Amino acid sequence: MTQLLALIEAFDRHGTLLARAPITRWPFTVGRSLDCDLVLDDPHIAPVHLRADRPMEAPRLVSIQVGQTVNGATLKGKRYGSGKWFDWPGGVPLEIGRTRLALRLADAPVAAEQALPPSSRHNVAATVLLVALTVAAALGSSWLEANDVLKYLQSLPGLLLTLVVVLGAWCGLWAIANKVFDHRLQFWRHVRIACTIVLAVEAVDGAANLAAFAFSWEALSRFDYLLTSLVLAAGIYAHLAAVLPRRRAGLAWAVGAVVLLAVPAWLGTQWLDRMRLSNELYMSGLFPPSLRVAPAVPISRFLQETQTLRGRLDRRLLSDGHADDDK
Amino acid sequence: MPFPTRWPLQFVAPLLLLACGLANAQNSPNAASTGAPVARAQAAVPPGATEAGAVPAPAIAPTIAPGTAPAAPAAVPSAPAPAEALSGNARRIYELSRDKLVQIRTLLRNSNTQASTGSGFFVSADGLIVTNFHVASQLALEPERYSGVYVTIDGQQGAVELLAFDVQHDLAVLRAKARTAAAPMLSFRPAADAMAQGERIYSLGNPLDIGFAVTEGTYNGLVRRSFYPRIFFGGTLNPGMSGGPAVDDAGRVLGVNVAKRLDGEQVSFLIPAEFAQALVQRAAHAQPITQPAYAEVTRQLLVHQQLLTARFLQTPFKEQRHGSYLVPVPDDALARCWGSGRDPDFHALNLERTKCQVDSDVVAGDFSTGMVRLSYEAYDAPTLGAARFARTYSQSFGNEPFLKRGNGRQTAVECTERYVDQGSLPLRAVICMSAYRKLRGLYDMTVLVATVNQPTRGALGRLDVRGIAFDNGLKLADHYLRAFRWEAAP
Repeated sequence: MTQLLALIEAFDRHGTLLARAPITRWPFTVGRSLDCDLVLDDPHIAPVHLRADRPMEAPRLVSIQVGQTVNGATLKGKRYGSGKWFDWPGGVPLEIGRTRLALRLADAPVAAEQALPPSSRHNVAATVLLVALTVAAALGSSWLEANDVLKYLQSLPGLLLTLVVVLGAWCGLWAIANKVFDHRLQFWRHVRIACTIVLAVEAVDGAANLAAFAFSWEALSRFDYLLTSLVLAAGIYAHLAAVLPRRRAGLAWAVGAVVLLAVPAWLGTQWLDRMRLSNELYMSGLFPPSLRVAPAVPISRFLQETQTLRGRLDRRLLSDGHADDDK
Repeated sequence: MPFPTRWPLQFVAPLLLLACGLANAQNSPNAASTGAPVARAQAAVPPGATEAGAVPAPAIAPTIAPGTAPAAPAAVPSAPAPAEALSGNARRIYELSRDKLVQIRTLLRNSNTQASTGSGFFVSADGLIVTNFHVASQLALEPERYSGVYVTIDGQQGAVELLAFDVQHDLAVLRAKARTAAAPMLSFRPAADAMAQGERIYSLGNPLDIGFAVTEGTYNGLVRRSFYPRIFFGGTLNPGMSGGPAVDDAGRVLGVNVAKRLDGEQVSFLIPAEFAQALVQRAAHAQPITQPAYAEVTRQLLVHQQLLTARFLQTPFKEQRHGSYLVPVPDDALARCWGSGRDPDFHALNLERTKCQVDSDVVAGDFSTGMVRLSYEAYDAPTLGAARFARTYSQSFGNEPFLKRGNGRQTAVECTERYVDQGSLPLRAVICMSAYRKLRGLYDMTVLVATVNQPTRGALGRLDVRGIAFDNGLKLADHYLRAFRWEAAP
């Protein structure tokens, strides 16, 4: 029986296994030619793209010689052209063309067994808890705005149906994307993410408005939409990371870039349109008086502060974009 | 603070009907927003036109009787009364006055098309004509775009020039240019010769550009609570009659047609003749106005707001009780207030509303300003719970209408806000102001107040003052904020 020396595997960019070849002798070759030990279909790979050997003087290394190729090989971000030699450490992916190679040596230590993700029981419990909290939040919010118990009770079926339909549609679309890109539906994972987003948005919004009321921090009330936007961006990232788990870093950068571009763009549009960064003119969120911490000032002091309006209005007269309307 | 669901049911439908009536009368963009069922009996425009060339109706009198919605102004008569319906006196008055009446037309200079029409009358042999400022405001503010002509009852017409105007009393004096013959003129009834309630008076003008007409009615004294004196004319005025004379049995001018109520029958208003006489004297030696007169309009509006501020500051607010809250309302002699009690659609919420309005609006071109309004909503919801009350209270406090985006007339609002306390009652106070572009030094100011001392009770207040100087605005805000009180139930 031939001794297995190593196992070489080829994956595409999404991590899908393309080919696998057991290595029973050194050296071995990789390329599109049928003579190669590992034959690949990638058109960006040369007929004999590389040759791997294990030098007698250093038996724990794998030495690579790049063949006659246009694209060369890339290891840890460094590109090696035709005819170059380099060492391929075990466990590090080597890229040729649009294919990624992984090599397992028979004498390399086997990695320790990884624990499974949290059991499905935990997931079920988390899902039930998050959905219950989301439903409670929706019912609570609706209850706060209801002035009539009977009307509130009559509205419950419609409210719950709307919640189920919206949540189901949102998570369903993400699950379809998950199935397309990651071959797993992960519907309930997206439900957990969506519920977490809803709860986080409610919490951030409520906390911002409460703090604004308690301490008279009007800016918090005025700009809580920015905090909410950040929460939503984090939630979108979580959905995307579930769909493309191997591209988390890239997705994080992408979502971050969108936020960094969109927020200033939005603020700039608001400023150009109305000469203010928020659409809210004043803090309107009122809570029970016992939660107020900020002191009340004498009316005379408030009116003294109001004198600043004159300068602000003068600036508007000069530069709010309407000054020349009738000229 | 219109409550999100309830207000419209009570007020929007009548306002829509009023708006239809106003559109029919070529009037005001402000009427719907103020709920004021009063229209200037002013300039007519061609059929099918809407607001083009129309001078806006001022926000004037509230017309809702306590607890009721305003009646629709349906089918405001749009044609002069038939001759056979008039008395013999009316026919005589018409014959006496017909050659002294004119129609005033404003024309677009570049196309010579008619922009608006009103009425007027000769008051001197050298061709001085009295009309309303809102008829001639385009000549005052945009003389480069508009010109004016007068048309007599027999169709003769000639150019007019604007000599003087009185924004506060809505009057203007024009001169007929290039007139060779002495003009027949109406004389004024001496102020000392007081009218008695119920005396017949006759209003003349050219309604809706149809033809000159006389309408007969009664003198009913001066309008109560009007900031400037106005005669209550129990007769019909129609659009296009603005600026026309109202005369007594002897054919002497006792007033100038100016406005009518749309929610009543034959409730119309005249400017007392003494103000027209004073303006004619000022105009006799005045030079024609050929440049935009915004500076003069602003000067007169500053006088107006100074009078208004002084009147408010001199008159202590009355206290109106809503539970333990005492909120300020203007004295009965100064403003008209009306309110509504518990709203049956809010079972857990006892909600009372009050609205007050001072009839102090003046026309400043194509809009009205100079008015003062106050409104309150008092909430009491002991069974609602603090959290639910806070949500409802917040929504009502937050849904106030404001000018968030500037326009050609004025800037968007800027606001300041604070918790304030003058001793017994902590308030969340917000002051928002916007500045007029061409009426420099004048602002619209809104003060919002929310009491923040009780978990399930509260009062929201709103004070609106239009066309106020900055410092006077702050004085009124001070006066207003200091007048809120809390008096715990014994």
